[in-house]
Amino acid sequence: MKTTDVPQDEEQTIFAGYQRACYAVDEQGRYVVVGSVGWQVEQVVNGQANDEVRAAIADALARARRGAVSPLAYHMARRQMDLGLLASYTGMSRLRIRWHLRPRPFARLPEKVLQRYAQAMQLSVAELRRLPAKDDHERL
Amino acid sequence: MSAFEHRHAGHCESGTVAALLRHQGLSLSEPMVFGIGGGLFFLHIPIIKMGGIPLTSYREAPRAIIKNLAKRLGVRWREHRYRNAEAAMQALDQFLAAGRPVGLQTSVYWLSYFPVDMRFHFNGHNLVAYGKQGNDYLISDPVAERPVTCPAEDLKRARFAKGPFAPRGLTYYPEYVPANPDIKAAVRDAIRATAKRMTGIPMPFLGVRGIRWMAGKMERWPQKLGPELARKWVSSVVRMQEEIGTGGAGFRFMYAAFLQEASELLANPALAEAARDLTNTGDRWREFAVQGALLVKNRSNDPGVYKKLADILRDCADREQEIFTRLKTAV
Repeated sequence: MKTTDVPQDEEQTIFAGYQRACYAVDEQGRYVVVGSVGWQVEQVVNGQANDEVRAAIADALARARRGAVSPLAYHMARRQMDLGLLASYTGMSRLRIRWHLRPRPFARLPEKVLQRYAQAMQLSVAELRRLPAKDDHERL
Repeated sequence: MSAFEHRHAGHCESGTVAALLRHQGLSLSEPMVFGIGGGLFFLHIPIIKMGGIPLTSYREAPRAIIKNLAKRLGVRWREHRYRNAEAAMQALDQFLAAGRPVGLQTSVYWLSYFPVDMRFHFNGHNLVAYGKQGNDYLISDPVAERPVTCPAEDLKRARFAKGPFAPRGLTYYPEYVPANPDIKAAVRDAIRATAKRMTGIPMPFLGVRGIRWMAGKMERWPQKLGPELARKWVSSVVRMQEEIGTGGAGFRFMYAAFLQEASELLANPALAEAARDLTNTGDRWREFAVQGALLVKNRSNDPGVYKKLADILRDCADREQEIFTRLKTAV
C-alpha cells in the first residue's frame, strides 16, 4: 500500500475522531506510518457487528416491555453479555441467572443480589430495575 | 518522572512493548519489535469458536512478542497479576509514583476513551500507563495517535474484566534491558523462526496451510451456514485482518516494514525484495477485505463471490509460501 492509498474516508465515523495507524510505502519506497481517518471497509464490517448488538438490544427491550423477560435481559444485551460472561462477572451460576431473566423471580430479588448485577454491569440498582423510556437509548 | 514519548502504532502489543523499551533506552521501531517478537502468523481453527465464530488470527498468540523479545534480546520482564482490584490499583499508583511506566492488559469494553463502536468484550488490549492526574490515569494507548486519559474507575474495570483471557490486573515492565543487545542475530533468528512457522508446521490450520484451509472452508460457508451467517463469518475475518489494529492487511505491511529495516541492518538485499513481495501480498489481502466488505454491504448470496474471495486467499497463501520459503535460507 502506498501512502497515497491509505484510506481517508472522512464521512466514516467509527474511529470517532481518532486515527488508525497504517503502514504504507512512501515515494522513495520506504515504509512510514500514516494515520487513516476512516475506511469504508472497516465501517461495513464493524457496522455488521454493531448492527447485531443493536438488534439484540432492541429485541431484549421489546420482550422486556411485553413482560416476557425481566429488565435484566435488556441490560445484559446492552452490556453485550451472554449468560457465560455475566456468570463470570457476578460469580453466579448460569442457571441462577437464567432464572432471574424471568420477570417474577427478578422482581422478588433481594437488594444484595441486585447489587451484584448492578456492580457487574456498571449500573445503579435503580437503573437495573427499569427499562429506558424511549427506544433511542445509548448503546453503552 | 521523565517524560514519556508517545508514538502512534499499528498494534497494541508491539506498540506497548516498543514504548516501554524505548523508555528504558532501547529504541526499536514498532515493526522491529513486531518482527523480532515473531508476531506474524496465520491460523484458522474452526473448532475453536469465539461467540460462535471460528478463531482466525493473523498473528501469534497474545504475549508471544513479549516472550520472544526476552529470548532473542535478553530483555527481562517483570509481570504481576492480582487477586484484588484495589491492591492492583494501589500497586499501579506506586509504580507511577516511582516514575515507572507499565504495560497493562485490559478489556477495551470498559475503556471509556475508546470509540463507542469499537467497544466489545475483548480482553487482550495492551496499553501503557505513565502517570496520574487527580483521578485520571495518563495513558499512552499505542493505537491512538495521541496520549489519552482514563478515569480510575474505568481503568480498574478494564483491568479486571472477566471472560476469556481475563487480564487479572496484568501489569508488566522490562526489569532489565541490555545496553547493547545483538540485534542482528536476533533479527536473523526471528526471520528464520517465523519463516519456519509459516511454512513448516504439518497442521492444516496453521501458517500458509491455514490460509488455504480457510479458503476451502469459506467457499462452502454459504451452503453450510446459510447466507446470513456466512456473511457474518466473512465479516469477522475481515475485522481480524483490519479492525483490531494490525497496521493494515493483517500485519503483513508491518512485517514488510520490518523486513525492509532488517535488510538495511544486515545489508541483505534479499530481505528488501521479500519486503516488496510481502507488500504486494498485503495489497492482495486488502483486496480480500474490500471484496469481503462488499459482500456484507450488498447482502450478496452469490456463491461466485465466495469463490472469488477464496481465490484471493489462495493467491495470498501461494505468495506467502514462496516468500517465507525464500526467507528460510536468506538470512
